[in-house]
Amino acid sequence: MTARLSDNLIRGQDNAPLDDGDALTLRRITKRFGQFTAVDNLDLCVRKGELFAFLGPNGAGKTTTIKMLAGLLTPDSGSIYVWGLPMSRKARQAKAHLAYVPDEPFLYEKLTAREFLEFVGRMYGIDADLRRERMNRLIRQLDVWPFLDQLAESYSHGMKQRTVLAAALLHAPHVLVIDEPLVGLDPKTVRTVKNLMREITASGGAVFMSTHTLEVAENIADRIGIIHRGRLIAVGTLDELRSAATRSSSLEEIFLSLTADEQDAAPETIPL
Amino acid sequence: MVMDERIRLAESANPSVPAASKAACALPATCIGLMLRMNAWLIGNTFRQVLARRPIRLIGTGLSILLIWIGMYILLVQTFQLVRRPVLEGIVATPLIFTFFFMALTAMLAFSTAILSYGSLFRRPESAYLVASPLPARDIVLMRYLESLILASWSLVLLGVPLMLAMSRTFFDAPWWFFPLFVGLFAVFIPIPGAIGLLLAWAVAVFFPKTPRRMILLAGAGLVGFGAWWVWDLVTAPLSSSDWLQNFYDRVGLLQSALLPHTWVSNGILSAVQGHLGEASFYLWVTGANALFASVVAVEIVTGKFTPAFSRAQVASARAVLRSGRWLSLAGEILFAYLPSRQRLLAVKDLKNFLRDPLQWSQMVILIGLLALYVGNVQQIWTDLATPRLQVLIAFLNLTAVCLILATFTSRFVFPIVSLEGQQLWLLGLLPVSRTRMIMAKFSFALTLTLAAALSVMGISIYRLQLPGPLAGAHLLASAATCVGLCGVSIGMGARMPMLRERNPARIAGGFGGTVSLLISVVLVIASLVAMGVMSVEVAREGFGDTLTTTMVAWLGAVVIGNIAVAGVMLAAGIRHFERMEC
Repeated sequence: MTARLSDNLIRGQDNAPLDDGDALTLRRITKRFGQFTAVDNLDLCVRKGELFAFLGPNGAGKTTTIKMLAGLLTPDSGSIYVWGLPMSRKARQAKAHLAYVPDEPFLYEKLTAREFLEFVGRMYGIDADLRRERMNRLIRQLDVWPFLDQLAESYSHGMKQRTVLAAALLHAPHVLVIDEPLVGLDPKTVRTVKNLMREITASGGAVFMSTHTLEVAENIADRIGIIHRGRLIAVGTLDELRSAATRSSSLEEIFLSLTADEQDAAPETIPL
Repeated sequence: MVMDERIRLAESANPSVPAASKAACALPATCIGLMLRMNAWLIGNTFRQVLARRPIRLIGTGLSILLIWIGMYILLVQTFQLVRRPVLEGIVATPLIFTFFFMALTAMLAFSTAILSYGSLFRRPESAYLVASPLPARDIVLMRYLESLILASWSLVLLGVPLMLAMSRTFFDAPWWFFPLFVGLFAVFIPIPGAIGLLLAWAVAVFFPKTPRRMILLAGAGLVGFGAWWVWDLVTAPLSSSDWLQNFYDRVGLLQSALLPHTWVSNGILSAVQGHLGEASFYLWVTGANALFASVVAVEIVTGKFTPAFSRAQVASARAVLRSGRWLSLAGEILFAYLPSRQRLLAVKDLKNFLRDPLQWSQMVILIGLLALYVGNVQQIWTDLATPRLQVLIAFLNLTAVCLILATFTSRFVFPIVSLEGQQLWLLGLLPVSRTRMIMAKFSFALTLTLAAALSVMGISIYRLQLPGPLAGAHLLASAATCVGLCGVSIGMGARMPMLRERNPARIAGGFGGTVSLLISVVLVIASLVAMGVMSVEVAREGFGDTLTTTMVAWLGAVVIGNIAVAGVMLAAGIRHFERMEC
């Protein structure tokens, strides 16, 4: 069933010219670490105005794909386009359209949130007035103001995540690539982050979100992609996935049926 | 002009971009100024924080540096005066001293810049953040290069200031412009080995991404080994005096080639101190021009291939299958067989962590290896070792070297191991092992390793010196007692003043607790050595036979009891604090 479902759902890609409506395009991306193929011939497009959820079991290739999107890893073959700009040749311009929030957010421990936001705003060359206005808005929206002038080393995970999100959104990116966006956040911030992601898509941008929380993907994603062993095995809207998987109804069931295979089963005896 | 250079991203992008974003995306051509300002914020915040929370630490660090400077200054003044006393030898030896000094500095700076650049360019979480941002690659490389130069040149500053003052005192007719020229020559010299280090770090990331540390350390060990062999071969050549001198000058002549950077800076400083302004300025100009050229070339090469190099360096963290686990477990089980089973488990875990981190074990191997090489060949330098007094003196000097190396080793590697448990203390806390036993397991682990290293080196020393039984036993017992004392101090202080949030062992060792631990260790070693020194003098005076004398027993007893008592007190203090600590 898995093979048939995958064949039905994976969008066939070729060397066709870029579509103006694509915010992110991955063309036949492959990444190997020695003998291990982390991402295998991945073809994927995320449309403008779309919130895309990227799912997969641990070690399936999600983080490697995200790191390639962010320009941290270079693919062994294939090409990546961000807002129509090739990452391989116009990396700087492409990155200016992109915001990347990793699962372990980075902050300078000895900077305050205000100093960090100031640094990021200037790095992206945002005019002073606009920078101040956006900082003001994001600081209030993400509740960063209570610890704005404290050193980041004293922040909890949630506080760090909120600060990093504010910094990521400061230059009003067209594409937000975010790894596990809601982990460690309180319910109020979860709602705010969801709203912010929706704001980006509503204004014509795109969000590429990797998550293990299937309910989140089910509730807010426009389209869902499932990667397994480095290969994209299914992509489509929740309804498309449901209709292809005849017996399955919830995303959890679809996900588990797609990603379960004989190779995953542990051998009967493991030498210890 | 600046506006013209700005990249108008919005214009090149798709027309459906929201209007607000179009106006915002005008990337500056360079962010060097901004990054410098950000670093100033970081340094300012750190300084203010330390000043507010730990002013004593700041004052202590300042005083320690001052003490080191005063000590080095006195030592260097004595050395220069000794060298200058016989006029002819002084004229010949002074340039040689500077040549060797700057040659050694070139190697040290290149090596330390390579390690620092590799870490800051490819491994630090900040690098990933900056690479994902639209900062120009040149800005990232340049900033990291400057940062590595500043950090790597710290040793040069530490050595340079007392050197400059000692020179100006010894050569009392040194003109006023000697000081700015000296500083200038130092400043322009640093980027030359720095550029080599940057290229080395980049090459390691590109060609050996899976074993970067090992490759850098192997290169460093190879360099040290070659230098040691070169000097050893030179010093121990079995030639007549005139042939030896000829051989010596032939070899040294190669090191003073006019094409080598350390020759320029060495000649420049000597010209300055002798009042030859024109010549000194020439060397300043030559060194500066070459430093600039080397820096531009290195930064351009690394910038050109920075992104692929960064990507390759990330592969190092890809999954690797370890096949050595079983052998290590077996070795650990045998080595710590004397411990109860749960403490043995903890010790074996620590052994695996230690041996799987090349930065940890390689430094120990290099230190102990060089020491073993020295004590194993010492009779080739000291020709008259049949004299009992000289035998006693050499044995005591060997013990001194071993004890001082052990003090450094325990402060650098043993002190952090309690703090390094900070991340998983909650896990260990759930195990059915009390915290006291946990600390004692760490003490046993450290003691086993240090005892193995110290007794091996002392064994070689005793064998080569053919010491009689009682004196040999006394030296072995004293070194073992010092191991107990030093491990007790490091583990006890590590538990008393842990840095549980820090994951970098070097930073833990360099913190306030680590510094205090080092100071206590040095005091303990000095006290033990004074006792052993007095014992050695007595033995040399009375002559040694086949039995232990009362004097030997008394002083040796003081060393053993003193070290055990210090270890006990420090461990008790550490355990008491660790038991009460909340994690």
